[in-house]
Amino acid sequence: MVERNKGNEGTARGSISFGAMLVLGGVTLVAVLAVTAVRAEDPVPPMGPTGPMGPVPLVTTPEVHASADPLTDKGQVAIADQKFGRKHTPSELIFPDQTIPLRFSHAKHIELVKCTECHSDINSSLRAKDRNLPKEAVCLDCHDQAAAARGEPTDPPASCATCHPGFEPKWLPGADFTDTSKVEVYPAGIVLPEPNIKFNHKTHIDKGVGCERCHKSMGEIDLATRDNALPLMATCIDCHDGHKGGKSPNSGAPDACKTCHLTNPDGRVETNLPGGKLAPEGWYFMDAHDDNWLQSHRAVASLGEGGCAACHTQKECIDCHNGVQKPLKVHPNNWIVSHTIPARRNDPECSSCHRSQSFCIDCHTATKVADVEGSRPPDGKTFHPAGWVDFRDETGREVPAQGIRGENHHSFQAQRNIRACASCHTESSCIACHGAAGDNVVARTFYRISPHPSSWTRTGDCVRVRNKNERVCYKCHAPDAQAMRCDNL
Amino acid sequence: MIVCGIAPRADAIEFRIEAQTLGDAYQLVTSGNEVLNRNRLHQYLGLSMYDLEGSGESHWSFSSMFRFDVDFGLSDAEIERVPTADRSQLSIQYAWLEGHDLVGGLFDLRVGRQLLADGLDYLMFDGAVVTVNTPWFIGVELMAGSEVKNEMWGINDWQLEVDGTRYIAGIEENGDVPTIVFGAALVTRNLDYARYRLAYRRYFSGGAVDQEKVGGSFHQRIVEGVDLSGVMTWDMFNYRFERIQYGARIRASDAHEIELEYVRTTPSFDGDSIFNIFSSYPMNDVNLRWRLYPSKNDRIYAGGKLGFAGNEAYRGDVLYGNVDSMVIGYGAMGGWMHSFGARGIDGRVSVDLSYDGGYAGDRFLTDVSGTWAVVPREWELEARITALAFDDAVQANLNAFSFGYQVGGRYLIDKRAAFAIVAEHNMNQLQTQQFRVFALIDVDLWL
Repeated sequence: MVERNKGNEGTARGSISFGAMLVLGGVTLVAVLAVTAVRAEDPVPPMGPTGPMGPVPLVTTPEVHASADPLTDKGQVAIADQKFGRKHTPSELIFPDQTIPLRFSHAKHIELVKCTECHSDINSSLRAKDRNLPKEAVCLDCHDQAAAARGEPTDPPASCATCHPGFEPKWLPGADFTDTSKVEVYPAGIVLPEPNIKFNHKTHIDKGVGCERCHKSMGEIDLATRDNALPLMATCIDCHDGHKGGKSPNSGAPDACKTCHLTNPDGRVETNLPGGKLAPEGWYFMDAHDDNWLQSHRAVASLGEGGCAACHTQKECIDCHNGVQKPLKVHPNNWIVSHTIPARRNDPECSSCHRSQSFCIDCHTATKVADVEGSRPPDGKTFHPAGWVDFRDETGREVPAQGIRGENHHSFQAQRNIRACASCHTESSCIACHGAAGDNVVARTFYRISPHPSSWTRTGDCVRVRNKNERVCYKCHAPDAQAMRCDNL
Repeated sequence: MIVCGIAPRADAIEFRIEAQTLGDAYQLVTSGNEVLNRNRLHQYLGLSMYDLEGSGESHWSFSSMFRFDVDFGLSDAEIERVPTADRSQLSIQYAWLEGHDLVGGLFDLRVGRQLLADGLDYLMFDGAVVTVNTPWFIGVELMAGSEVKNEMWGINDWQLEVDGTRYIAGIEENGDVPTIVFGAALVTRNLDYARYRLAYRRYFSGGAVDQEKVGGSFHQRIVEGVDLSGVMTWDMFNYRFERIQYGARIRASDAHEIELEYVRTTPSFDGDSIFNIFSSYPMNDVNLRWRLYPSKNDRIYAGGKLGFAGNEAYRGDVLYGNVDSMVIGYGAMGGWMHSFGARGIDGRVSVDLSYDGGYAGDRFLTDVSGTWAVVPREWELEARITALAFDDAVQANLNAFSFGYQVGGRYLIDKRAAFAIVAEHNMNQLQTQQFRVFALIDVDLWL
């Protein structure tokens, strides 16, 4: 029994639906534009009275600029914060947050000294966790701190505050200013957490890779930080491309992920890092593990296991694609009740994780919404609209044989998305009416509606399917039926 | 996997034991308004060994994963109607011996039960995959084996068996006949920012073809910030494209990104299935998504989608009334996500809105979710609230406003063990109350 005809499923569903979509889109657009407008510009200073050339700023330099001394840690952070949008900078998971409470300019120093004069251990450094920073004594070779402490003029400047911003030493009694450890309170120390990556400076230097190849233009950098002085993965890939003849003179270096990334004993990349979960952000490939990744990862996964297997085991594939429980993050709450609309649209694609004739029909069988003996809905309840299976003649009267079909006829649904049908029905449901086998009296006598397209025999489809697998033919046709000759249906 | 273990010593066989216990309890309501309680327990056990040769090079390894499913929620009568819902079943998810970079890197080999996933489909099979790595930017992958089918042995899992045939009264099925699968693929290697794969696979049983497909997939970076991808699969049994998919991702600036995708699908089933005959018109979907990154910790997205599918070419005397020759579905979505701390280590909050209309019905969804790391990397709480209004266009009287929420938490007991629990409670006019609880204990040890 049909409870209610919901009307033509293919027709636009009225102004409310369309209006709701417009409202949603409009609200989203306005919100995005508002945020963009506010954040797209540098902070705007308060404006004063209008002058001949327009409004006059009350302060000429916003505070954020005032503190943006590029020679200091705070300044570098302030400069970075001024920029709208995310920046492609080295990963904070690979290089955890650093604290460099110094005032220093590489640009000024590099005019006078070579890199290795300060970073003297770099040629023998074997591990990424080596700090490779110069000790204070190296600085004091040029910066005569003792003279400055005695109040004598120095060039270059050598007071403690020259390098330690704001630091005023309280010397211990008897200190002669030559030993900087003789102070009551030390200046803030440098914090450089161990990088979560493999790197051997010696190997690279021995192969002729210069400092600037990875650290870029240090002559243009003041305080060196993670964001402005450490290399991006793109720099590594230039040489670590796995083949000779690339654009880098050092191309041909191994391109396996484990060459650089920390790995577990099975060779997979260690993604559980102290700072969080390491995952691609899409800077190099279409593999950003972001808001749409659950749907969009098919494109990457379809390339075979190689890319995914660098980090993932098959257990992780199976968890969702062969799962026994609903991963709560995949579908929203109350999915069981509301999944019918997405399933008919095949959006998201059900077959990515569920086979219709196993997963879907099992649950539908248990809940008595399947066309399986013992699991049909009680009291003749049906889930389809009027006109789903019946035929009508020209006057609209129902006839039990071939005729004309109305807007809700099931054939249209079956042609578009048979998976939706197969989630509740087995082939038996179809064969009951469409089958033409000799013992199918109902089908033979009343319906016998061929589901084959009109071109079935003409194009060779019939012969091809029969030759590849005639078992499927026997489900509807008797072995000796004329149809099995594929010359006429 | 939630946790990973500590790095063990080198130059010895490495043993890994994974144990995951999942408890899942939820309620279903039947079409007769009976409440069906499902209480299930699933136990995974993974045993693996790496660097079998003990040289530190780790060329040879063995991996296996077993799963034991127990269903406490169905009565004997219900079990009879749900043949695959056995009260207890042990299955081997995978178990293989693998060799990497053999003969100077020329060969890779994997033998045993394994999952193969590519542009053609998923395949769980018992067999072997051999990859020959040539020095000319290409590898040749050869595979052969027997599809894992539910009805063959008692330790098989059925979820990935080729779809289409089941429960055909009076007609002998071939569930106990081995389905042989073989195939080959060409895969590119060491290309800069590009990967291509061309694959062929054929299934047959009892002398007849069950499936035969050829397909390709690719990813290609055009310039930095512009990437293309595609998947195309030709069904050689039904002589039609099963899938055509093209996508582009364009990073217009540090703050803006656009993702565009077209997908055309026509379902394919086991060659033994008559569903192949009925399935004749593809479904087409176009998806567009725009992302804005105001900062490193914020992401805003908005998008739209359009789906359309045609019907058969009508003859004048076949139809009556106003029947569309094409159905159209459409939708829009938007959302905002903010993370606290680097990569959200201190927590996240996100808001997602979506609307679907047209073909199949209307659906409006609002979802707010968040996580809060009470102790980062140790204690984490999560919550989710969902409000949903839907009106099914095909199914009679299936429309409701539904409200649901989830609350849960996760405790990282150790770097090698974690515990998580989530409870879900839903309410709507169709089903007054619905509860679900999901709990997990995860242990991962390297010995």
